[in-house]
Amino acid sequence: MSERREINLDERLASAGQTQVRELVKGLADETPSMAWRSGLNEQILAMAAAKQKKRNLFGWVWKPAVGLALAGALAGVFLIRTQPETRPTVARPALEARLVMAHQDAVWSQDAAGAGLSPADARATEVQLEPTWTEEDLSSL
Amino acid sequence: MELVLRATRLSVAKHNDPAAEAALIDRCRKQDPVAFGRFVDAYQARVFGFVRRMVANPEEAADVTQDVFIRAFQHFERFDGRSSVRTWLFRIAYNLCVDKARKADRSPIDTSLTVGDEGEDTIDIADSRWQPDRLTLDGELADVVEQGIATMSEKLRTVLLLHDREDMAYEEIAALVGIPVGTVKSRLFLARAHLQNVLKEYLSGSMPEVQA
Repeated sequence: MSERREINLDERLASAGQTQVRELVKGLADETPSMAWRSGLNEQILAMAAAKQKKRNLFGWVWKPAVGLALAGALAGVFLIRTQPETRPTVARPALEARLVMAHQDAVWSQDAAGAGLSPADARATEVQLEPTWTEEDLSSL
Repeated sequence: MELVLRATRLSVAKHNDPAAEAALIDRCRKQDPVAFGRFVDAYQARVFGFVRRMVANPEEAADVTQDVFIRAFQHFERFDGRSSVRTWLFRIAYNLCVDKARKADRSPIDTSLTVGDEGEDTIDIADSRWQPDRLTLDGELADVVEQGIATMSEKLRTVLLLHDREDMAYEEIAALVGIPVGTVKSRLFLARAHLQNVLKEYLSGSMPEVQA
């Protein structure tokens, strides 16, 4: 609508005849709905509010414990991880450890010397004496 | 013809305290039934008056008015405050009335949408006691005006009721109905001109008996 036409319309809307009709319309009585109408509306509103509250309660009964458990589990996990010691474990009895290492080494050597099947005890029983038992007299007799 | 007019005007309760209204709206957003009850108290007469004049059947008008408030309660949390709560509420009412009219296939008398030269002269209502700013229409004159409103098209009636009874601004009505401001003014002018014609016919005695 052009500005000139709109101004013209504004002026006409403000004329005495138009204003008179406006007052007639404004003067019409209001009507309040009946008590039965209001009672029916109240019942529906209360029913909707109760249904919504029930949903909220159900949500609280199911999800709140679940969320609580999940949080507790997460906290426990964090606590356990953080409390584990970071240092290497120390050996309580070093002598025992040394003997175990020697036994392992014996087993490896005996396998190298005589093959599989020979136990370290057998290998020690038949061990080669390092010190010689012959003398020069034995050599001259040859 | 001497018309007897009541000296009192029915006033509508309005929230004059913005802070109190804001607090009430906030509680309604949380679907507090007590707060919503107060909201209904404030608007039920005005909404019912609008719907009753938009929907022909009084029982249907009561049902539609209930639907308006039920929808308002269900969707109050979506009210974002960009418009006034009154505009928001009457938008719900208008949409439900339009839906009802479409289902009923209501065919009002078509009024020309061309703004002519009529509608500016005053009507000689022979009652010197009529003070427009104080009196409520009663009796036959009220019935004539109501009938005039009922016989105009839905487009004109909507604008007339929202502007002249609800004191909504042109821009509010334009946003509510979804039409330009210029169209709001044109329809308002034509609606009032239609009522003037109805009143002239009645006062000249040429109008058939008014059905209350």
